[in-house]
Amino acid sequence: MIFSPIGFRATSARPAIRMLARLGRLAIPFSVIGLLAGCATAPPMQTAPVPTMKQPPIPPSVQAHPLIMPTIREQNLPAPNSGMSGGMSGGTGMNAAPMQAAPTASAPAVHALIVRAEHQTKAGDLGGAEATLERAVQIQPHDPRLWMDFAQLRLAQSQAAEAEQFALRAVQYAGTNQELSAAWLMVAKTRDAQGNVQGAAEARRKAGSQPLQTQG
Amino acid sequence: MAARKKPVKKSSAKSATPAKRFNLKGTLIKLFLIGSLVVAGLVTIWAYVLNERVVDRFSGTLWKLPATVYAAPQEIYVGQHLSPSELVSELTNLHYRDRNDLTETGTFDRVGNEIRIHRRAFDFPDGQEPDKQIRVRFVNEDVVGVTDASGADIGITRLEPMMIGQLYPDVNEDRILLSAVQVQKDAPLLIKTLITTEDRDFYHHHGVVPSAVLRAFLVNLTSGHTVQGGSTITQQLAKNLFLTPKRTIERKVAEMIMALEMEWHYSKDKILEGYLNEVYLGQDGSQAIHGFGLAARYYFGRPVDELRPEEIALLVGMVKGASYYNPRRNPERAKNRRDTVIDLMANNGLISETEAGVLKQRPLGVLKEKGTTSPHPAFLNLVQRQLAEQYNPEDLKTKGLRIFTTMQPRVQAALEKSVDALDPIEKAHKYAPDTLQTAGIITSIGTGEVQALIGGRDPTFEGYNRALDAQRQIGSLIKPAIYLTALSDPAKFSLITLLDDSPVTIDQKGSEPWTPKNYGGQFLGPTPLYTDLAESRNVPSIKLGMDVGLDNVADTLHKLGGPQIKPFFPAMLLGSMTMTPFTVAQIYQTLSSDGFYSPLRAIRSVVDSQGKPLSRYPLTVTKVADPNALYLLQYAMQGVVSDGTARRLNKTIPPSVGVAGKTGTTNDSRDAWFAGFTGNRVGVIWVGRDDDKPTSLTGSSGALPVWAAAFKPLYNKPRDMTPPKGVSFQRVDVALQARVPAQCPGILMPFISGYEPQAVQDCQGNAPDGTPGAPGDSNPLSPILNFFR
Repeated sequence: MIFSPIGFRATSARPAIRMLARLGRLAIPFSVIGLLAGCATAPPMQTAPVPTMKQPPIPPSVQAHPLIMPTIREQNLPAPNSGMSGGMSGGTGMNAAPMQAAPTASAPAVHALIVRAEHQTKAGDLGGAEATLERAVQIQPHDPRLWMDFAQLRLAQSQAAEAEQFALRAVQYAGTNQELSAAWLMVAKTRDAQGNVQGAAEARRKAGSQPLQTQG
Repeated sequence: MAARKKPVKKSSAKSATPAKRFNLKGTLIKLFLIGSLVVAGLVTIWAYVLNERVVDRFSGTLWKLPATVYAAPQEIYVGQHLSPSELVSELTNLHYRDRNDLTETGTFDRVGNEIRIHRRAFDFPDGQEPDKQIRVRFVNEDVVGVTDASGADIGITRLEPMMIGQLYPDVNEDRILLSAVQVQKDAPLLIKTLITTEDRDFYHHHGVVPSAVLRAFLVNLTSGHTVQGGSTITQQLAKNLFLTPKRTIERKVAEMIMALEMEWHYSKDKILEGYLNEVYLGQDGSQAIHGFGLAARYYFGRPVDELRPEEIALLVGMVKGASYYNPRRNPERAKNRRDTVIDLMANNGLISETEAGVLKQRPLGVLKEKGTTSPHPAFLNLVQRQLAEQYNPEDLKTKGLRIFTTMQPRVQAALEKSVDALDPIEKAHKYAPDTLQTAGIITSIGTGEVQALIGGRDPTFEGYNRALDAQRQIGSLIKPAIYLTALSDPAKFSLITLLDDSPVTIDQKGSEPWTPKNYGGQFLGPTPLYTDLAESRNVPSIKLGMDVGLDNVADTLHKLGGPQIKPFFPAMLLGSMTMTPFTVAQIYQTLSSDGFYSPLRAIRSVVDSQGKPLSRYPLTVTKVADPNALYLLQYAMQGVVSDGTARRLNKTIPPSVGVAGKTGTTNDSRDAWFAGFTGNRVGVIWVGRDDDKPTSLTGSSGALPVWAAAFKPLYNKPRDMTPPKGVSFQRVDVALQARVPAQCPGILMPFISGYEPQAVQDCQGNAPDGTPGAPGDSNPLSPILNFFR
């Protein structure tokens, strides 16, 4: 089994400066996602790249907050059973409808946790952020946004190989083209961090976008 | 203390000097004086050394503090499926009180559709949850609002976690620590009885009672050997803590000196507390039972404050000799001793004479099996193993660790209760009760957290943990690995590929040729791949496995989380290899998580007593299978439940949940398995006999009912069947191996994009004019499916 205890002790022992440097790097992909999400949902106020800077550090329980990648999936999903039930049944009972289980009613909870994790990350508590994201992923294991955040966190923890796996999982659950593109870009980034130039290029190609500006 | 010895020496000096000469007399006196001083000096040094030991031991913690183990906390969030009564029972388990007025923490109030909670503060490893008033609003069985007292939405919150046990991660020693103050309050009779029986003057003496010492000395002298201790509670504690049980004069003196020193330094309460926790009360295999807390659980399965008077009498009586008066081995002796103590209690006014008479009529009431078990020993066992594997042994020696586990009390309770499903099975098959054994694991989708685990039919039994240690043949549970290997080669295999169900003989190097049979013995000719999996057809599965290559199947199995098997023999395609239920759960965890492997975890984090995290065993994921192929496999595994060998599950779990799974039955029905997953959990159940004798059960008749019983009371989220981007649904005619228009009879099947059947036929099986195999738009679902792309 693969166990790599995340360096709680290691990270906390490191100088704060290095943490700040990391946070700097962190800001880039968040803003990329933010931009993409902004495109998807259209309201112009959403395009602010890093909307969380003004927040006080780690509220014990989190208040509602403008989110980076908000309710895209919910808005775009068809209502369950909408016009599909009739035509589906065939010769066997195997024809379960290929549909989303339910639009996520837990969105506010997951969003609250995402915000909490962001605050924890900003405060340098990467272990805490990790625990918070795990709570969220228990609630919504198919939410690509959560796997993106996990990938980002692993990058911040200098675990690029693991970050790549999380990014691949975000690819798996990406529901919209924007999400898909953002997820592949994240894969590219994690491959960059591992020195896998070819793999990164491949991921960027799958992101289906411009070669993109070089990343830190 | 040394001063006390002087007169003794002096008097002996006097009696030993019948001096005749003046000079000699003076010299002798001088000599004796010097001698006495030397002895006094030596005794002083000795006392000093002993004092150091006493202070040293008492200044730190007297005993290793056990690690406290917590279950996963109850999360409360908007959109959660949680009924008000479930939340109330959760609160009650945490000893919250139902009060209208929520001024104190640890109270709640139910008002219509709302439950108001004054939550206790708790330090989680990832931050504090403050003491806070919370309002949870329900509509039916769903949480629709979580707000604070002012009505502000908080989205999600959690209660403090339930404590599920204590353990010593690094030593084989157990103790349930009692505080003297607490025991005085909750079980005063225990202390009164103890003092009455062992040391009536405890609150008045200074550690040693000279008259008692003298009496004991005389008795011992006349009888020629040591029979009586005359020890105070303090002396007994000194002996237990610091000295070997050997009885010599020297030890006795040391014991007295240390007793005086302990009394000098410490309060009666502290000494009593030490005694309550240190006294030896029996042996459990290699583990000594120290202290009344543990003994109460070991013999009666209860905490000290729930002991009845006669039970207290027994335990206090055992202080005199725990093995001599062992109630399990020597019940008569133990009863006599108990009754003696009951009489003492009556004589000293602790109970009335009539009460004593009644109590003496009662049986010993000792549990047949030891009651030291944690309520969930099998799960704790897993925690202990993962601690040893994943954490630095030095860290685990830290005092008072707090271990946060993944156990979900409600899920664990459901799994423990599910074993009852074996009773009717035994009756129906006319087996003697308790013929069948079982093991089960439930994990969370997506993250591999172990939410529940049982190691046998008696979930409280702390012993053989079948979930972790029983190596059993897995039978047809292997088949998904074969089919996944095939489906990962979409150019060759799809769900509707026809497999040949006809007799076959396989030549094997170095052994007899093998002619496998189907369950039921029939051969059905060409059958579609998805049906062969749903019906668990042996022969087509073996042929498929041979076709894709044994090494490839072995490789798939290993990647999914199974063992590395080399060489992989053809018979293994029917699951002749053995695995533990835990390993099987690992494999099915990967299958449920869309091909992402995450090691099964029982521990979220461990923090020291200051709240500093030791380390975390974080969530990891590794992509080990093509998600598109895995989607097809899950679809077929869903067919196992909707139409195949596990269809009886539909009576218990609504078909809308879309459970995907696989039954397993081994040769002569020695093992019955069901492994399956919903939208939120994976469960694996094994049923069989410890002696490996055959049963007449199948996976469906033996293990599936237990699985169903475990999952029925839980909220089962429907599986998310959104196809991944590389999969498209097509209406097909299996016999024609062609796509058909919507109005034709046919079935809807997922295909890996680009590998849909090329041929298009009309309802009569003719190729319609003008549509030569253009993929895609004949699918009525296209507009909807496009949403997901």
